[in-house]
Amino acid sequence: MNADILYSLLIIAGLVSVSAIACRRGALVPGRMQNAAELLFGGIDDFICGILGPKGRRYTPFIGTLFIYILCMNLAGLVPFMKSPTSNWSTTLALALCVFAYVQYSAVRELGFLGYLDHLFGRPRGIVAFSVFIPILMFFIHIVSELIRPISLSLRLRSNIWGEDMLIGVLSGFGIKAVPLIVFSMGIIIIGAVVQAVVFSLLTTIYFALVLTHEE
Amino acid sequence: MKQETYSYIKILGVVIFIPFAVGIGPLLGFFTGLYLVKKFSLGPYVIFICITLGFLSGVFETIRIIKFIFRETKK
Repeated sequence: MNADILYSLLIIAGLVSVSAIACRRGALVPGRMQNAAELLFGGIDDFICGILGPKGRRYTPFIGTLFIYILCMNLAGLVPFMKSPTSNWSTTLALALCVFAYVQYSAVRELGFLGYLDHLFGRPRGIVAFSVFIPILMFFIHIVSELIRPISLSLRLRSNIWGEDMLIGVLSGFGIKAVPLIVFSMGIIIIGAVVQAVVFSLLTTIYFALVLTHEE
Repeated sequence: MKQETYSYIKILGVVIFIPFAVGIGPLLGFFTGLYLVKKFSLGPYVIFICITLGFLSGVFETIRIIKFIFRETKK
């Protein structure tokens, strides 16, 4: 089995175990674990609903899961003998394709098939609707834009995390002398890992928003 | 988290996203054009059209996201 898949499965198992323990006994006065989980989920929900409005709560589980999963995969590179699964393009592309498929599905569900086609043609109204060239041009531009999204989303995450992993790898090669530099780099890498996970979730939220708010 | 922090994160996200969105459009166009030229024995102008389309899509995508973020930040 590929090491990235193995590490991803390990992270999934860890997250499932932690979630099961945190949610096992839902008490009115939460314990330490439940409190931390509620704080995290509350923050993610606020972030998503802040952009998508109350309708966005429907997407909180999907985007929140993506955020936590990506964050853990990004940070896995800091664990000795492990490597971030997100430094492999296959992993990030799979995640981006999930986002792509869900956004398209939500768009069709929200706008209807004809409404979605209308959206792809750039909502031609008035005199523009009678000109054939502009709606067709908009259609192709929209199609290419939709195809760009999973590639840019996945490549951005993969490239940043791969760079961070390479930095740690190269610095480790210098031996004991590089320990202060490695510790300093680890701080930067932790910040980078959080930022990359947030940016992935943010862009996913924006893609949903562009569909749900009929953005043009 | 403070609302101001959310705004900074949003702007940071856009700044990181822009080069990828603008760069990948023409690349995608180039490879699509190359495939079409080889598959259907078309002229090389198809590659140029596809690259232009890819570039336009990247720019449109970037403008849409920047507009959205700035409107959200102003709220």
